[in-house]
Amino acid sequence: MPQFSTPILETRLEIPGQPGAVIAMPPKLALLPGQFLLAHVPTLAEILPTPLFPARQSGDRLELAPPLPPDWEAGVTLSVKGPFGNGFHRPPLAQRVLLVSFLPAPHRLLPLAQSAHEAGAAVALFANAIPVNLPEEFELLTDNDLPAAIAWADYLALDLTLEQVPGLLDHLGVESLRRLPGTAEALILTPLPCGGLAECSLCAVQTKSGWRRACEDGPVFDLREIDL
Amino acid sequence: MNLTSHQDIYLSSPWLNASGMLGYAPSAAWNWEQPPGAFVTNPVSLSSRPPAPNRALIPFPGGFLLHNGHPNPGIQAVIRRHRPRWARASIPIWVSLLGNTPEEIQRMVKLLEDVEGVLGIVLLAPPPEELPHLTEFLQAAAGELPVILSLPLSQVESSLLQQIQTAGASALCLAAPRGCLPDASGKLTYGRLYGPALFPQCLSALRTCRTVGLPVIAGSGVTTAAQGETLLAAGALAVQLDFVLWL
Repeated sequence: MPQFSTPILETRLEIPGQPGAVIAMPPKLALLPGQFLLAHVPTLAEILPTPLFPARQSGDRLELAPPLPPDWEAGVTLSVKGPFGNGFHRPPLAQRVLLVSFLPAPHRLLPLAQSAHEAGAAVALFANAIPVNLPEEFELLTDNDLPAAIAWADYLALDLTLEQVPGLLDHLGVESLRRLPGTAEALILTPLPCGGLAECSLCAVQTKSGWRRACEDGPVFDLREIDL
Repeated sequence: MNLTSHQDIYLSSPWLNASGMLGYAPSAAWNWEQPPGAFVTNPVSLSSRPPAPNRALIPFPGGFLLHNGHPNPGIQAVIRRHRPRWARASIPIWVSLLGNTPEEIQRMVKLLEDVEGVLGIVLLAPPPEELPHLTEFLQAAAGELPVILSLPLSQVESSLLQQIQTAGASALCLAAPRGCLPDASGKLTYGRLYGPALFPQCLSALRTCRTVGLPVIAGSGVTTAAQGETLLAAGALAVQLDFVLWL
């Protein structure tokens, strides 16, 4: 498992209560949308590592999705390991990409939005808060737009907590999985304390083929595989 | 190799992982400066156990509460999957057992006695309501392999220690105590406690245990080599590391 130390270059607060940060990215580390790193600040005597999800990448600068620990400040050095897990698998031919975040900040979906946009796909985003500097071409959706957007999309990516899984279809405004686009994936937020080391199953997700650990088998799952 | 031994317990180093911290077989993920002296598996039960529906990780100042229900695929699946790595391991494998009855423990021990690489049984203490029957659990675990009783810090008391000593345990292992905290919705959740705040309790429990003469593997709250050395100087046979192995 690759490990490295890297400084926090700057901190950001795009959404109240949701601190983010930018770190320097090692040159050879490839972090796919939906994959994560685990990091802690040794000088802060932290007890558990914090999962780091990519939000935006520019050259060797990696912006991390909020929320991050509020006491992480620019200049401190993170001890980092990873990447962990499986990321999103957007079909290369998908041209109508719908991103839906039920979290306070939608940043964990932004790398997917960026790659879809660069591939020439149309991108629509439903979120509880809007990040700064979104490309103007992205369509921003409201609750009322969701059913029509789901019918329009040929790829759906969701970001939600494990607790939101049981009511998901209601939140989306559809009565069955058959109403969803051909490919639908969900990034599920769970505790990820051990990164698979302990097989502790705190991150376990019930799927149609049994329990799966988000740290290894996820945290991105085929939505049709999840036991809703 | 510098062997530390007491009765039939062998360790190549006085540092080892706590049950539930590193899975079922040794890996390269060990992050402590000193090498491990043994590997302790996650708790294993006779039948498979799913993750607890209300599993939780709840932080508190100085630590966190963890409740996962000890999920595992069951003893036969664990042996089938990990036997090759246990046989190749350069350190002793201690299999941690979780049983509802003495009979379950006995059946699991029998399955493990001929497995190459397995050199110890870590018996998780039964829940408090079953503690009057602790002797029966220990006797059920007795066989060809040494038995290390894993006792939560919160259950260390003199009368119980006497019972453990006479029941034939080879050693005692101080494990994470249980506690209770409200989750995000306010619902009370019970689980195991981890964190640096537990170290003073661990040191105190170690001194209590030493009064009965059993070898003690001390664990809970250790974050530095200096703390581990303090436990060894206070008479611990070895030191178990828990959450610090996840960093």
